[in-house]
Amino acid sequence: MPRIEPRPTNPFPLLHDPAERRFPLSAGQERLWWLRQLDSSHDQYHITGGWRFPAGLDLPALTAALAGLTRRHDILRTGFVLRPDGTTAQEVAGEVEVPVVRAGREWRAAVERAASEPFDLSRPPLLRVVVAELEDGHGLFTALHHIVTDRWSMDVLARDLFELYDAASAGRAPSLPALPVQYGDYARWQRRLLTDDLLRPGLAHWERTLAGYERLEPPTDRPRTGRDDATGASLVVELPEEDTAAMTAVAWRARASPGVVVTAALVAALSAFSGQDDVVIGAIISDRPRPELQDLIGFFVNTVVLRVDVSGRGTTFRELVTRTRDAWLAADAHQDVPFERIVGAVRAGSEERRNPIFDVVVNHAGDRTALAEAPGAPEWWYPELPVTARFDLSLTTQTAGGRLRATFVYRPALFDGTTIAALAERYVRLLARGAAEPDRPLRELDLAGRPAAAPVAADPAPRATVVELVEAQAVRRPRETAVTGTAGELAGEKLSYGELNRLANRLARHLVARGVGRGRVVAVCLEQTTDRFAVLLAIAKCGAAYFPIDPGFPPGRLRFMLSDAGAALTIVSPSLAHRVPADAAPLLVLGDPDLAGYDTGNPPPAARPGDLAYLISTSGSTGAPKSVAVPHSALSRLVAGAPRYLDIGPGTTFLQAGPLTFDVSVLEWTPLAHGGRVVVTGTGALLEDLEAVVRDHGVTTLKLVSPQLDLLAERDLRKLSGLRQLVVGGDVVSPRSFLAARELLPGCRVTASYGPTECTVLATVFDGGFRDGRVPIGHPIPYTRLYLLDRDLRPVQDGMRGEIYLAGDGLARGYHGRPGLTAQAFLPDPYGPPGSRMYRTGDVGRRLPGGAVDFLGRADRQVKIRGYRIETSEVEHALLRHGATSAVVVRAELDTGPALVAYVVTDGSGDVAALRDRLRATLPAYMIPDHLVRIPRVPLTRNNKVDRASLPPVAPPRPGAAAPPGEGSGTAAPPGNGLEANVAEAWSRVLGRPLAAGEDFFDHGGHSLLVPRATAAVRRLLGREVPLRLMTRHRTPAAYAAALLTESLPGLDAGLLLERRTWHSRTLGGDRRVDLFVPDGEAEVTRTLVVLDGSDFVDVMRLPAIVARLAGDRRVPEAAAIFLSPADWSSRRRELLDDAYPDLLADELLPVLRDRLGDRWRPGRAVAVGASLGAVAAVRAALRRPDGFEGAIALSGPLSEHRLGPAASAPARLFLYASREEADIMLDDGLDLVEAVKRTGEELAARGHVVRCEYGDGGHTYAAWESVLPEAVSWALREDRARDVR
Amino acid sequence: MFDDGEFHVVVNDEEQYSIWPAGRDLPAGWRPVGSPAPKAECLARIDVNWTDMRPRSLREGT
Repeated sequence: MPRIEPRPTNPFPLLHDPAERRFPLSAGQERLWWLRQLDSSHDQYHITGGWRFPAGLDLPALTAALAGLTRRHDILRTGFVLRPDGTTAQEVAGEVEVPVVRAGREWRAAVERAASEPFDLSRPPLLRVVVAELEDGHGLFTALHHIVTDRWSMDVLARDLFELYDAASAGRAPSLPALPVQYGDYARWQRRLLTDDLLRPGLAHWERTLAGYERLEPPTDRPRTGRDDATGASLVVELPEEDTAAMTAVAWRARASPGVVVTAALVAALSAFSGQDDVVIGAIISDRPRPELQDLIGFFVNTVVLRVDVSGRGTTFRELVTRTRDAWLAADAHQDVPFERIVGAVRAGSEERRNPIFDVVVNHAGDRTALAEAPGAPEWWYPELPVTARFDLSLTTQTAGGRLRATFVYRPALFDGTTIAALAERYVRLLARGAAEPDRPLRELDLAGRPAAAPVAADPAPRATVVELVEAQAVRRPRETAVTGTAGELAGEKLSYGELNRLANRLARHLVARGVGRGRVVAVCLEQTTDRFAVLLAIAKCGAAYFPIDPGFPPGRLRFMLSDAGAALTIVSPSLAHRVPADAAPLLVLGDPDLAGYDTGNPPPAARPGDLAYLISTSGSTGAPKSVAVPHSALSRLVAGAPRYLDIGPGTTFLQAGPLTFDVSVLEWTPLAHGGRVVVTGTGALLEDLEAVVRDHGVTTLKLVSPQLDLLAERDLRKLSGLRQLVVGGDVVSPRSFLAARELLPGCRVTASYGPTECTVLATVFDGGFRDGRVPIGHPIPYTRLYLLDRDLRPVQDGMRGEIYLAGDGLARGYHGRPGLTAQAFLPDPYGPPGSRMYRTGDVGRRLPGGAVDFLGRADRQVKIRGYRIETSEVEHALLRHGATSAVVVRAELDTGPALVAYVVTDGSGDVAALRDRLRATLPAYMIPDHLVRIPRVPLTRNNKVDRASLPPVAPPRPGAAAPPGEGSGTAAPPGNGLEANVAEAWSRVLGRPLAAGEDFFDHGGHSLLVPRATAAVRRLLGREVPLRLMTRHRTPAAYAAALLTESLPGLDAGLLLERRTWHSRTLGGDRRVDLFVPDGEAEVTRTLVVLDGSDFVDVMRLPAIVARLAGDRRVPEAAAIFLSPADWSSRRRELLDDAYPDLLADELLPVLRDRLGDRWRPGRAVAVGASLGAVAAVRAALRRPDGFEGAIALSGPLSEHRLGPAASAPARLFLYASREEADIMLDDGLDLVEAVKRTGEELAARGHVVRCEYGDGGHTYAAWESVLPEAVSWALREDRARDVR
Repeated sequence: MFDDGEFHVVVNDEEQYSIWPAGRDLPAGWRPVGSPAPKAECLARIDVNWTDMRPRSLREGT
């Protein structure tokens, strides 16, 4: 057993201080307090308890007992407050009254209300009582906030309350153990331990333990949304007595508690459920580290993280118990590190709607306190209440009557009851079997007792080759059209079955003469013309395989492909001949050889079922291209089963719009084998002509891949009317397009299909209804088996995530000339006929109720960012649901670290920012792409797959950028603002490390308990209330600053219009953001405020609101305002003090407004407004450019430090302000800031300027400036000035 | 994971090769060839030994 350091003891004395009324919160309380701040509308952290009083309740005695109880336990008189500095405190009140509701017989509503109504945590007592009249006697129901109690405490509460009650009704003195300390004493004692120095080793432990951990992601039945839903449901299962005894024995032998064993079984079940080896869950433990705490009511619960490694093929249950025990011991030893600190240390973020680090918790309440069973204790009463789920899933176990009782509480918003029932069943099975046979490998335990995989009905596919089938059609319907479309070298626009067969026979004979035969490969490079089927059929008739090559490939690559495939010949359309190298295989140019002399009768059959019918090159995302080799038997399987799901018989016309190199073209064999028609024609890369082709050729059956459908849906699907079936392939089919097709094409069957080339084009089809906005891939087609297997190749249960394996007659032979690669992808099939193989797709899916398979993503396209496993297809699905036409999500390595990038195509009106907002409503924040990049079209490979390599790179974020870069369709984001810089600085101070404007607070050591402090810093900055919640939604200083601004927008009077532009200065260079506020309407504008430094010294939206209000009150005339931000906040100081700055304002900036206002602009001069250094610049503008500025408002400026203007200039009106607290700001010239303002004011007045100096309170803050602005503005803008001259 | 540990090179009656985790029951119709080895080694061995990827029945014309 590894040596695990014991938990360090708290070296400080635990003492009671009777004088103290204010205490810090304990670490656990702080966490609960925080959770409450996130959502005050409801609260799932209530603890309830009820007791029966068969003999009835003596109400006066109860009142006395409750009063005694609150006197005895300080915590019941305690309220929780947030102090101005962002710290929290609990304050003990002198006396409180417990609210008691006498509900009578109609008590249910009162009990429910008591249990669910949120408490105001600042107002004690956090306890309420309902007295109910039951059938027999009374019921007493109590509800408390968890922050003052826990389960154990409820037993204490019951004991104390009843002793007090008994004593009161009997008129005697109560007899209860003395309480040497109170909860506040405990909290302070605990906090003393929580200094950085003392915590360091513990934090280091957690960082080590959780390094590279993977978040447990059990497959949910419904996608996770951004909505909060604490509605819970529960399910109880019991372990028989015998198994419970065996389980206890295993625990004893492993020197572990039964709680460890029940946890180990949960870990095993979760590992199987999620397919993850690295299982991280939470565990709830009761923590009363000192005997003095035993009799207290209070929150003594701790949550620890358990990380258990389940890997290893042969891991036994006993081994897992040992690993779980070690995880428990280590967690227990380091439990003093508050959970939030761990979250901060491992940068697990603070997911507003998701618990950090884990979503599943275990709580073994095996050792119930003895108080509950004490003689004379009243009987518990459990009125039925709605279940609340604090976690996605929790397991509470308890042993009662020799049997283990396991209660699963889950969120029905995420999981179906059947899913949890299956999990619970699996859990009990693992526990029972593990206890019985602890030395068997877990995998076997898990499998044992499960119904064996259904035996496969190996109904072999018919083996007639396409050659035989087409020849038969040529006999049966010689004159019926087989192929129509663009005329080629050998055939016109129409080719009957007879003509097709005869042409193919001649060509086949020519090929045989050139040495083509069984086992050979013939490359083809053909135009989309009608004769291509004669060519393919001819090759097949020789017994050879055709191998389409793409004329667009570079010659070197074509040469490699041809020699790699061992092509005997390349048949090429004349127009493409120059593209194909002739040195790798001889060329046969269509139309060149004269075929007229060859016999038109069928040549002797050559191809056997095992012979290859074709090769298809798959580019593969990495490495050299490989060719999938498909035998006739596999093609026969496709063709034979097709009529059961494709409308391709006689009288139908089939079209697929892809090139021959794309394996969907193989589907064209199915109509030919069944007497239908095929259209072969080029429809343009973007299917420009598709609608016309469908109409002109009477296409009935159209096969598209999902991006193609999206393209058509963008236009008008109704133009495809006349279709009888539309088949859409691809793993993620846009539900919007799919539903649009169903709606706009009445009478047309719309089918989704899925299948890798390795399984001969198709593996599954789907045409049913679907839910949750996802189109499933459906059911296997005939002669095809689909398995969903876990990493040990064992079937997963329905609903569980598994890797998709395909088996049956459709399997390819393998990768041509790549035995190793083939062996790795085509594995022995344990569930098929002896000796058969199955293909590992690398796709992940699960079986839905009803049997259809839902595609969940690529096993290799699952990305991991900040501990979260993200299924990129999940995000793609969500983007499609929210209005993106197409979407591709990838993980990108940016300079700032790994990021999730979504490339989206939207129709014209689509706004990327709005899309992001909608995503927020349905996806958890960690799944929201860091970058949303609008692209005109998803780049496709030649095979119509998404070409991830061609997606544009994301521009690295500019430091201080306001909006996430890459948004807004390519235009540069406007320069950032000073508020951002200030927020970043405030947060950096709280974090103790620098945080850039674009960096996520929670990814850089921030955690929720730092949020109150970080928010308090911002509140001080702004001088107004800011909700704590804002930070969890806007996690970077840039986003937060932006949110602060928009948040204050509603206060803006509707009379002002805001225009935001980016403006380039000729004088100083650089792009600047300019916010123009212009009065609405046609009225003349005679006054203008030019606000320097943009929002650096005031909420940008506030000043316009002030101006608008003053104008509304007719205290000032209609005024416009211009906010100018510096080009770069880091060089702001240099810029503001630049000698050219006043000229820039007068010569460049004012004309911007003049241009905007046109006729409304009345020649008038502006007032410059600035704070701090901006104040210096504002005064300079007024003194140096009196032609542009009539005055200035200068707030808290270090005016005496700088040369302001020429000794003599036209008189200006100057409003100078300083806060009295700024007397402690010393300037370089030895004056303090207040003196500087005073002295400068005197000097300027002496030079003939109109000066008003004002002094206020509030320091060098936004708040102080904001409070003086109304007066300053109305003075500066007022028309009647004479009175003000002093 | 199916990707770690040792594997057997296995072959079926059609002389198609594949791999299978060592220590696990081999599906019917397959037999191991040689001793277990890491996956990459097994695949390299297959690359050397499986020279004709046609199924045996096809090769022998049955």
